[in-house]
Amino acid sequence: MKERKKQKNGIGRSLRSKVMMGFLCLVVLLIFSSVVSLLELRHIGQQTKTILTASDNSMTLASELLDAVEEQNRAMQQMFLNDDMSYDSVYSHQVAVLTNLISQARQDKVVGIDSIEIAYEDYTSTTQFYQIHKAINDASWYSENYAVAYHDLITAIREYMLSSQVALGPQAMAIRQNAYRAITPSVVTIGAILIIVLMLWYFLDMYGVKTVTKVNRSLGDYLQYKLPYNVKLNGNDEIEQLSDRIEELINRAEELDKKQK
Amino acid sequence: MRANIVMKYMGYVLLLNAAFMFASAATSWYFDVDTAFYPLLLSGVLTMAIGIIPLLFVPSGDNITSKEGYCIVVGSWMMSCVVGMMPYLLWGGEFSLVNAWFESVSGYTTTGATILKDIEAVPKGLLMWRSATHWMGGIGVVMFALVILPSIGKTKMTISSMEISHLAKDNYQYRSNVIMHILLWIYLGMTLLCTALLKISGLNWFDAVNHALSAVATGGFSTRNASIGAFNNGWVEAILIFFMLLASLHFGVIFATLTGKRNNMFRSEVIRYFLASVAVVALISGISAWNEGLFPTIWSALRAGVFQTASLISTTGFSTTSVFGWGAVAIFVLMFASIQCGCAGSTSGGIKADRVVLAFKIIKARIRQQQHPNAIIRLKLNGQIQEASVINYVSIFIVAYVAMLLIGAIGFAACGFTLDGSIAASVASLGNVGLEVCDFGGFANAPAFARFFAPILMLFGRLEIFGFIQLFLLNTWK
Repeated sequence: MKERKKQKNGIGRSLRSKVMMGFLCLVVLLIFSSVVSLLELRHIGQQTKTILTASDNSMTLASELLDAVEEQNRAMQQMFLNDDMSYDSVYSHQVAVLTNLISQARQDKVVGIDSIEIAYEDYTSTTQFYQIHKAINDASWYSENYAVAYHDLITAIREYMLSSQVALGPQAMAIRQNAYRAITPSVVTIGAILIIVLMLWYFLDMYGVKTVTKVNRSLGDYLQYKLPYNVKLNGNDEIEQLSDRIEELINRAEELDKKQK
Repeated sequence: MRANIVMKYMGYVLLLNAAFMFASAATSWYFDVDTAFYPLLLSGVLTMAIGIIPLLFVPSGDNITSKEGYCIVVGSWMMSCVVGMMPYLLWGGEFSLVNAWFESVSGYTTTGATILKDIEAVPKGLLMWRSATHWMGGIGVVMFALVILPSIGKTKMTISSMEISHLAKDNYQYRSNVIMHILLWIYLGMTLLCTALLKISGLNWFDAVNHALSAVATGGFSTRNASIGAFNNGWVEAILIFFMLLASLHFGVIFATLTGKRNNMFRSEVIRYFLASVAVVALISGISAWNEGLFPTIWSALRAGVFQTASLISTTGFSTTSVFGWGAVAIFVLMFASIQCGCAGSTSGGIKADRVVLAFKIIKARIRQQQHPNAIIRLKLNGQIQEASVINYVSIFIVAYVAMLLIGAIGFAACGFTLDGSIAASVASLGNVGLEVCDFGGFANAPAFARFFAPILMLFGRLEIFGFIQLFLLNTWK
């Protein structure tokens, strides 16, 4: 009857499949947490690249702007102080370079270019060609108009350089967060795996080792002291099958003994 | 006690937690895969794995003892709080180990206190998880699992009797299975209705869902730094007042009212008392606030008074404005409301209105007994005679509650809180109110020990003190 019931319900989930599923859980957890860590590391890589590119671009732009302004200033000084009009071509070339850089930055929607543009407009309006002709040998024009406009433009470029570096601060913080998120899954997963391993150890001990020990002890009592083999199991797995077969074997052996007597 | 059986039922609860984590991860995914997506997904997978292992090994079909039932309930709460930390820990930000513990316990116990300084900077998936912990904790983490479990003899009855407060059972005249379904359908129905009404009143879906989950669970987590005050919407306040008060009533009584049964809310003396106390506290606190010159008109003061009273007496903890500065009278009556709280069989915490009503009746009976020493005086609550054991338990519970309040206040004072700050923090934690704490500018800046200690008080409150004490005395339970 018991055998027929088992056959109807099947063996039930076998011990082997339970153990396999338990260890499969561990494997899945390890793989999953590794994937999550790798994805976060990829984020870190992308963000680092973005920060480095943005920093490099802002530094390059600031450097080119400063170089062009310096060249313009040098040309201005030559024209003003030494009355050397041959520097007019140098001056005009640098004006074109600066104008190009600023319009390119505007197209690229660079943050902070507005203040440079305003300062540059003020600078160019001060240094119009006819201004030079009118202002030759006019020291007060040089110190009160030109020097001020030049200083404002240099300051605007330096402030842009500084602010663009400061603006990268939140992104750097985000990288730090992502680094935390790349490492923590592994730590937490190890904690969870420890709990699972402890549970697996407990259940394997309860449903595997102790059950086998019970069968072994009862069989030993039968063989040594002829005590009845009496093991009640509720696992519905391979060990219960083994126990049932041992019981059947003992019953057949006893029947044979009786017949022989 | 069979640990394997206890672990099996805890496994079901963990699977429920995992389901909500996946739902929150889906929210993250919907909002452009925000930074909480992978933490929530991984947490769900880990929780599911831990929950599944006992289900693989432990066979079904066992009746459980009351001790095992108790261990299942308390163990499920504790494990839920622990696994609930995972999304916070994995996301990082302001969530150190202690902060994650605080936020997780505050969520599950429906306290609603937070360590976050900038709630709006937290990704949407994580905000959804916070609200989900409220919703699971509101009705009891075990109740959900019990509904989906097949009926196994006395198992459900044993477990549900541990989860539902004794006073709450009086108004249930059904079998355990039916009780659980009533609880869940009322809870779910209220949540859906509240969400719909909040959406109609002008909130977006995300805010509507989160605040509905929080209000019906009487939790208090908001998606905004200024809580409900951020919306500046009278309709939202009115809807939340209605649902906070409704969630403070016995769910069985709500069901009886909806189905036209005799034991409806209009015949309940506890509910009449509760609503009267709401009205009185709201009036006194509103007038006191207006008297302090904090509001331009008496009506705006009363509006704030009603909202804050409903929020505190239901132990939700939403706010439209700060109550500190409303005057001593307002603070005292609001503190009383935070200690008394809602009715048994609701999602609110505190001593419960039922016990307060019984306490008044015990006092009245004691006076009469002194006048008539030979008289046999029976106490009735909602028309039902209360047994001596229930009356004793109410008295003991109130004493234990006040003692815990004192211990809590001493604990907070030891952390550097001021006198009134430590009392407020103790009331907020033990009553699962989540009232803003004045000292240190909130729990976010409080010492680490305070952020570790407060969740312990929250658990004492949610498990009605003795439930948590038993955890330390399991060896003596035969």
